[in-house]
Amino acid sequence: MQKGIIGKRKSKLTGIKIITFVLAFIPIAALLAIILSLVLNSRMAIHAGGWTLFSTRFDPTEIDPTKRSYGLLPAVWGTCLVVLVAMIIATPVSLFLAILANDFSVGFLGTIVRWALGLLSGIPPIIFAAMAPVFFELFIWPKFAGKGLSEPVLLKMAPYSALPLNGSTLLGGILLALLIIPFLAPLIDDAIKNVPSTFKEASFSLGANRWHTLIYVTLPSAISGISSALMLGILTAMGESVIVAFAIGFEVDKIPSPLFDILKRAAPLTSAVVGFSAGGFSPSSSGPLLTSIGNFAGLILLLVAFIILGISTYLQSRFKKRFIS
Amino acid sequence: MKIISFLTLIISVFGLILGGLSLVVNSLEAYPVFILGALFLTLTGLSIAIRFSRKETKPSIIIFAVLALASAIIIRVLPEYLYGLNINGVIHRSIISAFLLIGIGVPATCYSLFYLLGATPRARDISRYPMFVFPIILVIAAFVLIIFKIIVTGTPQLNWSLLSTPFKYQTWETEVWQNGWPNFIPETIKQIGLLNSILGTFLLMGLTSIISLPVGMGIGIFVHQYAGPSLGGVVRFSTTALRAISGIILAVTALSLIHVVNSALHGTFLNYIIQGFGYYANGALLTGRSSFLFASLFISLLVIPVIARATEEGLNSLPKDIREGSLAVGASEEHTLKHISLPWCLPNIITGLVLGCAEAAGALTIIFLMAGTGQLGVNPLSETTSLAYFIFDCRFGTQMGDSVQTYMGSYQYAAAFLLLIITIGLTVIAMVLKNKITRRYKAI
Repeated sequence: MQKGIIGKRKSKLTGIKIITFVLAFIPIAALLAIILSLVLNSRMAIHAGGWTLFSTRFDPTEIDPTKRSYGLLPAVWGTCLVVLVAMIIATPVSLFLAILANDFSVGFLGTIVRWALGLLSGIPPIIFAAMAPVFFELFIWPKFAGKGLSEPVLLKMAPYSALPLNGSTLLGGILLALLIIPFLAPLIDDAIKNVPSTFKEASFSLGANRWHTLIYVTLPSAISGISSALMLGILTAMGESVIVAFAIGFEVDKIPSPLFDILKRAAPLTSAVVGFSAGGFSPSSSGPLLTSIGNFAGLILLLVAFIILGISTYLQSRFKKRFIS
Repeated sequence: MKIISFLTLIISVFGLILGGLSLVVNSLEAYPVFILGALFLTLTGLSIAIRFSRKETKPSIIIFAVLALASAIIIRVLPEYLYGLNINGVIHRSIISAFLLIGIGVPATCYSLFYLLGATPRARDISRYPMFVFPIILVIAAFVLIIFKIIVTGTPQLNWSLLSTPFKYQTWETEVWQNGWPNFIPETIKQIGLLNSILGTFLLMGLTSIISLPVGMGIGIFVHQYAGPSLGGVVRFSTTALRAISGIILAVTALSLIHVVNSALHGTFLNYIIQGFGYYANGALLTGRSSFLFASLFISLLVIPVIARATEEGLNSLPKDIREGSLAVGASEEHTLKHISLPWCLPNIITGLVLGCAEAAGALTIIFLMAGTGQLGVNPLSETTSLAYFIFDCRFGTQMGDSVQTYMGSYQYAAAFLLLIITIGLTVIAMVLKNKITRRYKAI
């Protein structure tokens, strides 16, 4: 790749070259093997489910085999909801953190923010997942489930089973947001940092203050970088499975009845896959067919991930073409 | 005007504090009405003061004043609990008052700060800080809460015997001959401890780095040195994609592989290697769900991209003159690579490796469908276990069919504390190394 004064020499087949050539095919082979395995294992689900895989009802225990339905749309909608909640919380906070680290930095503020984000990015997801009960007791229970009310009073207000007692999409979204903020903020920080300083200097020399420079120069120039970062954030939030398994659960039966009901448990695709594939989780309901449906759900996840990754790469390349030549 | 904007600032800051507290406390319901009413009065006063001293009308301040009045009335009118309307929950009044307080308190703070500082362009910059800082403070509070809870609950549980005994709960029956008759006596081993989980975490880290270091370095060198733009792009995309796709997909693939091997090659050596094996207390040979070696193979699929990217970045950062100088005095490509390029990017590679270790310590998504309690010992061919899996087991152990939740469920905070120390420590090391690398760039 590197062309120096020597130019492109006639390369010989040496040991290192061969070894690295072989090693470089490991990720490609792994990716192909994963796709192949998912496709092969989801044949059974496609055969048994057919188009009911895209219906809005998941009911594999129906006695009449013709009425069984394996709809994955509830899980897809669960993913959308939880990612939406997480991004609504995480996007402004990460943007503000990046702005504080760059344009509005005072003294060592930028360095402190970057170090803190680096530290927080080291917290593994299982820690957030295990802390789900803490957030439940502190926030969800008193605010949305009537802490301190006696059971007869509660029953008069709402059906007891409808209360978010055992986890909810809101809880999962809050924990996911905590997970992705340390991941998202450095990416946005990079996007804002890479806006050429000449743009800002031109704006300052025309008499604009920092706020106007930020709104009218920096953010519009960095918009493709920021949206690429947001795409990667969505990808991370979508692929996380431990937190949602702890905070939301595994049940996918139907789409929540008011569509944007975040107080209900709408399990996303990832935790649905966990529920389907893990024989140990619910041995009674898991079987080869459910495992196969899990593989099919994995295939959907993979497809969506590739689409989002493609969009993000495109935005990134546009950003680079514009500023880093 | 200064006095009234100062008053507005104080009241709105109080409103923000109250709003933040109302997010978690139910019993502060008496105060939001007064604060919002006071905000209405002071904001109106502020707009009148602006009208007289600066000869301009600010419609936005008047709008916020009216909004403050309206929300004070709303909070006064609302019943304590909202329910019905198809809401699956009982919503307490204070969450609404918290959002109203924050939504009006932040702009009020900004405006009052702006006029307190004399309405100059510099004051406009400074008056934006409350808007940036307040949401960040809320999120920091959440992080502090998590870490505080782990430290406060986790450290008292730690003691030497917890750290030095492996968890064991095994029951079996021994055959004893009494009076000419066989008699089966149930025997039980029960040990409470975290040793095997801790050792398993370190074993996973070690195995993962042994596997992924050569592969990741090889890929980095290949992409930088030998590959053309198209092949390099394909390799780079595949490594990025491996990290970007959900870990659960890798886990499902691993499960299918285990299933295939288990059904096709049951009882063979390969099956034992993949599933892991160990001996029960009564000497029976048991196969696990998957071995450390197999699990770390799949975890290294996540770590390889990190190391490859780090190697590539290090090689890219090597100044051209150094490399060309080496080639000019007659060194071969390989000699240059071995003696010039790789030593140069060694800090980058170590940073990537340390981050990869932190990843392996916390990687639960891949192993939680194929790990066990670690009762079969800790070596590369025994059943996978780690601290992260232990925390998972403390919640779902009964469903997964083991006895961790029953006997050690309350120790999850201690395990979380240890895991936090390991991962944060590794992250700090990586950050210090990265800092050194950037300083080296500045030196050249």
